[in-house]
Amino acid sequence: MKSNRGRRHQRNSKTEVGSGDMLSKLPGDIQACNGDRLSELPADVLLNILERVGTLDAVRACILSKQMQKLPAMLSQIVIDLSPRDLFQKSDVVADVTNKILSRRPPHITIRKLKLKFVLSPSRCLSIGKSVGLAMATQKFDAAEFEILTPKDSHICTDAHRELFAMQFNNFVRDCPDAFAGLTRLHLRNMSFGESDIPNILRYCKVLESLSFFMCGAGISSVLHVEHTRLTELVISYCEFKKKKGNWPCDESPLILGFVPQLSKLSLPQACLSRKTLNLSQLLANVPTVSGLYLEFRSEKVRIRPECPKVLAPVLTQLRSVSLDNLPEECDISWTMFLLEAAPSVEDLCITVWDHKCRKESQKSRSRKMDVHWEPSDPDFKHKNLARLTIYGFQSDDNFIGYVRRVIQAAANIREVSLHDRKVCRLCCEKFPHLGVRPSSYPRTSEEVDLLMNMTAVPATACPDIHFCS
Amino acid sequence: MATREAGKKMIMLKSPDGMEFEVEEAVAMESQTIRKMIEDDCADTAILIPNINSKILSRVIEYCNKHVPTTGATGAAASDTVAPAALAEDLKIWDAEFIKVNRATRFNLIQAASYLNIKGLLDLTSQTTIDTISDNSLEEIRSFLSTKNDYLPEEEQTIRRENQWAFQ
Repeated sequence: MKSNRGRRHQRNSKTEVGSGDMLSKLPGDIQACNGDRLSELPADVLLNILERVGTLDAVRACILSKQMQKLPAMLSQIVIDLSPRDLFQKSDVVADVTNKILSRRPPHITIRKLKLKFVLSPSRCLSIGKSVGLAMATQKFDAAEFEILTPKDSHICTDAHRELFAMQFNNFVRDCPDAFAGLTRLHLRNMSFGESDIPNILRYCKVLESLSFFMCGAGISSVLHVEHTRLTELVISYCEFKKKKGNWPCDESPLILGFVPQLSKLSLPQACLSRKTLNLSQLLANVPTVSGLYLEFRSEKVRIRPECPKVLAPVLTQLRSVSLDNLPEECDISWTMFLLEAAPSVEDLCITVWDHKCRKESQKSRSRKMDVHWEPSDPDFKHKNLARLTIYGFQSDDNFIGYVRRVIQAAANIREVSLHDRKVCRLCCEKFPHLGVRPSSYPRTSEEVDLLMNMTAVPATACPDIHFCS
Repeated sequence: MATREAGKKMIMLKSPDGMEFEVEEAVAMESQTIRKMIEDDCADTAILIPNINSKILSRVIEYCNKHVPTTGATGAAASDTVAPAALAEDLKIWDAEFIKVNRATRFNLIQAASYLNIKGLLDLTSQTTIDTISDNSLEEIRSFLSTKNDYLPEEEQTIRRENQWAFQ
């Protein structure tokens, strides 16, 4: 809701300052008959309004009158999603309000959505976990989500911190099994787990549908093993799952997807997968249900094997949407076509080419950038379902123009091609000033656009709309 | 008052203070509540809209009239000739003017939008209240939204003690 707020609304509330001041000078009984009191609105209307603000704001507003005090317990959406700064200041309030709202509810009102963001601190977690667990035992929840922040954020977190946070989280899960048994979404960050931790957590979270890790790891000597009957979404970002040392086969992936029959959305950084070359057919061998695949390359050398369609197609039959993010600049991207060859149902393909490295010490790549070698398996290959191609970081050079031509030629039903300039990151530009001033060959003038339109025009069955969106 | 146009089905809406409004069916069906009545065949003659006086009902109809073509319900000419982006911009400006009303009218419109189930109107009319609740201190909310303090002095003390965070 907040995002909808325009200047107009701000102005409106300003004008009300005036009228409010004037009204406060009038005798109380005259004010009372204006019908302009918030507290006089019917309960269902008030609840509708209160569900559009954060739950803490709703609870606060309801303190204003005795009549409104009963409303927070009737909210069917409970969302506590403060900024990290507010969250650290109001950690006790979050636990306290959660407890009050959940313990005073009339049991017949279903909780359509519970979303709680809170800081990992043993005593407060225990309080929140117990309140939620008790409520889950007596009431119906459609969706319940925990997002857990850690007392130290990613940039100052050491390995020791991550191990401590993982241990505290494991205890939290063990102490509040009822809460985790009803959880549908879980976001974790800055935790370094032992080998059996994640399978254990997944056993507690019986109805979990979405699991996300940010800046997490699985310790020095372990593999992340995911197996769950209900999980539909797995998101891993900026994580290091290190590989077993010693006699472990060195091309073994540190992420193993076991029986995850509902998994449809998978979001992974290349770095967490393997130090060697990634074989998608191996990674996805048990999850042919995936319909959305997001791979992040951290602007580093791409280590993926463009497998031939025969090997890869069986695991990609459901794939509808592919996003390849932060591919290194100045490298050939034609290899990405192997995904189209192997995944006939793909409708959306999005490629972001970008040297985005502000999270790293140096702008230099860890290893030399190299093109991924790929040969088309069939020069006359046609794809029937691809409808949209989106490229961020487009430049007017042979690499991109050739790629767009190639995709349009192959995709018989493509409707839309959107070509965007390089993305800009303020932090990157501050850290590496030359990035901000390097030349871009993205078309600026209408002549340049026309020229490009001609260059990308191919005798194809489809004539997609080509948009340049700088 | 609306006049009958050829080929367009009209519906009669009645306010409790006895006023009648003849509106195109498509306009009336911007209200999900009325849509349901029409679809369930409960709208043969006039539909009485309880609790919404003629002044508010006429404003609600004004809103629905303005918003009906963009939803594609009637396929009116406006959406064919004007670019969608320009149309949306025009609606935004119109909405901003429409909502320049005093608080009592706004609260009445919120209630009407809620009863008639007109999502766009409810979003528009409740936004100021939402902003006020999210952006201001408790005393400011009390004065902007004129919420009556109905606590006894000792009750207020307890509330303040138990919810210190809310008063900061």
